Amino acid sequence: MKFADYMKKEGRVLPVFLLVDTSGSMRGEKIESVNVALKEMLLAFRNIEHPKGLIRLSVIAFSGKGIETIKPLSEISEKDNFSFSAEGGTPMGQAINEVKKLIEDENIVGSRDYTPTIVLISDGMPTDFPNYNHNMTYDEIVNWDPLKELNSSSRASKATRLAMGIGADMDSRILRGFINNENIPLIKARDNLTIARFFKWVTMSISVRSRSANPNKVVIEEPSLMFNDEDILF
Amino acid sequence: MSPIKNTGDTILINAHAYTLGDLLGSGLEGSVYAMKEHPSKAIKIIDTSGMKSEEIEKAREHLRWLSHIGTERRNAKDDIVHRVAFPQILLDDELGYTMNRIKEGESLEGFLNPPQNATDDEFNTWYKQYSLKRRFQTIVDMFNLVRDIHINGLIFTDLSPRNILVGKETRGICLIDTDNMRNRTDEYVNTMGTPGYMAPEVWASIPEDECKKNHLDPTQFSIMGRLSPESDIYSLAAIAFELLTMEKPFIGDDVIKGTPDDEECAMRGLTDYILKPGTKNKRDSLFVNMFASITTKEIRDLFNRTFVDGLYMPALRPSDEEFYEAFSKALDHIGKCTNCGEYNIFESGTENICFNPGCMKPLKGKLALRVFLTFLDNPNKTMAASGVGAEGKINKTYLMSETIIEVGEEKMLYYRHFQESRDRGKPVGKIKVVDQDAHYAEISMKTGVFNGLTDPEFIGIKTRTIKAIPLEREPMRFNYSNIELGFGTVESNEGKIQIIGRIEVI
Repeated sequence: MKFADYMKKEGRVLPVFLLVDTSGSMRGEKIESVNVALKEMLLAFRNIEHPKGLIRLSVIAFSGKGIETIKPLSEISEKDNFSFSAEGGTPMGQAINEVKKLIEDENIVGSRDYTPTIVLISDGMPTDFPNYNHNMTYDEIVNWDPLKELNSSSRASKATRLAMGIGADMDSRILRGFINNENIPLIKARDNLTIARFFKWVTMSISVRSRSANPNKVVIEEPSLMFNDEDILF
Repeated sequence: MSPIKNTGDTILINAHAYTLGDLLGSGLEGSVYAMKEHPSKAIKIIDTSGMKSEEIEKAREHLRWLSHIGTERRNAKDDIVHRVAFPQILLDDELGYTMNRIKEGESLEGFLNPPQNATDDEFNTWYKQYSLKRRFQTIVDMFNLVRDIHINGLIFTDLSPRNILVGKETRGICLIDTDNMRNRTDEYVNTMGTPGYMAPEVWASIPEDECKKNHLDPTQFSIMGRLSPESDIYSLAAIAFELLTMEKPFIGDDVIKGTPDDEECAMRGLTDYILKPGTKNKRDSLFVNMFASITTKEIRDLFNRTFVDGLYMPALRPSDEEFYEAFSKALDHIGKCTNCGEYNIFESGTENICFNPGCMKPLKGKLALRVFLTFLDNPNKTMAASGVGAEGKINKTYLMSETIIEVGEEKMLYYRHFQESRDRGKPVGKIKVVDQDAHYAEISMKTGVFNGLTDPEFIGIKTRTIKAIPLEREPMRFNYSNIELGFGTVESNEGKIQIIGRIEVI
């Protein structure tokens, strides 16, 4: 038996699920901004020195092609290089169901792991929300099955949820219903710069948590330091 | 709210504009930047989000007070200003300050985080860099520095590996993130500590049953009152324990396998100390299992007093002085295993084995300078009864100190090797084994170092046949198989005490 064998210690995982809307409406500059910002986030996560919570990332895209697991929950490696293209509808409900299923699976998020974070990025209306319309009340929206089930799941409901709505079309109530926490704002991105800032905000919040002595404690960087006031929706 | 600052932004200090250089570090509390115009300075900007304006003002007042203390200490030429990064000048528009930039230091975290998925060779290279000897020296330096802080009437408050920088080449440590430093009556409370290193009384009041048992009034401890030199000592003991074992004192195997909530409880000291006799919260790991090979009994007792007796009772914890002394003494017992070369603690009378899993051989066969105090019952025949002579009766003999000597390496000698001493001054002499086969050693002592000696002229080398030879400043060679060192005689209540040294194999 050698030193290293005695010293190997399984660190605790800090799971991060990134749900990216790659529907047709994201095509062009928006998806390109996401691609660039994601690259910077991966680099920042890889460079964290002495992390206590070991960041594992999963990337799930939802579009006309349905749900696509671009990266199953795993360590971030130098080879990770994602470039989304955008097409088709916005099956956001399916994406939320998928992440709930993953978090409930003990083989994917173990009991030793720290509370996961789900990050949702979307620019439009879910196309899999039956009878959805702008006149719906907030209560009706949060009663949408994917949100209801997410919020009632014993494990997934504890996950920290961050969201960015891109563009003027987005219904902030759906994303607020997803966040389901009055202390965490929804970020509204009307330009590419805010998309980049959102990723930086997520990166900082998760990096600080990863380095913290108690990574189970949720850390959200102060949004007013990063965004214009009109981009922050509580 | 001021916008977030970045490298290249300007910042006003005494109405002069300065440029933020590279980001040196950031955390929940704020960020530290290099200062472009003055490479020897750094700028800390404290994150004020979530703080009310009166809290910001209170914090600014606190920084002003600390900066004033730093100036005072600097004017008094107190060495502490080189080891504690006191706030110097406050920023005009931000909550923050300038401080000296520590360039050479590396965070203590480096000592605690072996490279992930390292091969055996990589791991061994890493461990050699942070050897047991270096870990002990760092612990000695830590307790010495924090003792100085306490003597200055201050409490550091947030001692954690991240706030301790260790000199890469030279000895010595430095404390950063000093803005939470306070005095005992200070009303300022910001960061109270870091989970895993924070004393139990800091995050929660002492449990009522413990108060009852110890006849204490549970209402007498305000949050501020719970921050004390003793809470600093708890934090340092937790850091020292981790430096030695690479484990946290309350995290046993079941906690490691358990949920993050279990870990949180353990970090709050709600589980047993993993080395508490009879505990079920055991940790099966190399350095914990081999704790006796890398510590002395005195050190193990100090940890017990901190993490068992003093867990909820700060007053029962040892002092920083006790830790300092115990670790200083233990440094004398650190030697390389004669089989594998790994540093261990050698103590005569123990049957420990080398902790290196590839070796596990008994720890023995080391040369040591053993200094004895010989109490003489016949004060008139002091020299003749020097432990080897025929005249006079030897009443009793105590082992005063035992210092491992590596062949070919100079070993510094201090007052504490010869008499009960709390000094931390310069060496008073040095000794070196030149040739183990021929039993040759060299010694040199500064003259006039033993104050209070009755016969200073007899500080010297005595042989069985030759009388005392005065020691020189220049090293004097001698054969240690048949010569013992007479370091002199001191008066005591029990008569005269002769100080005798011998180089022996332990």
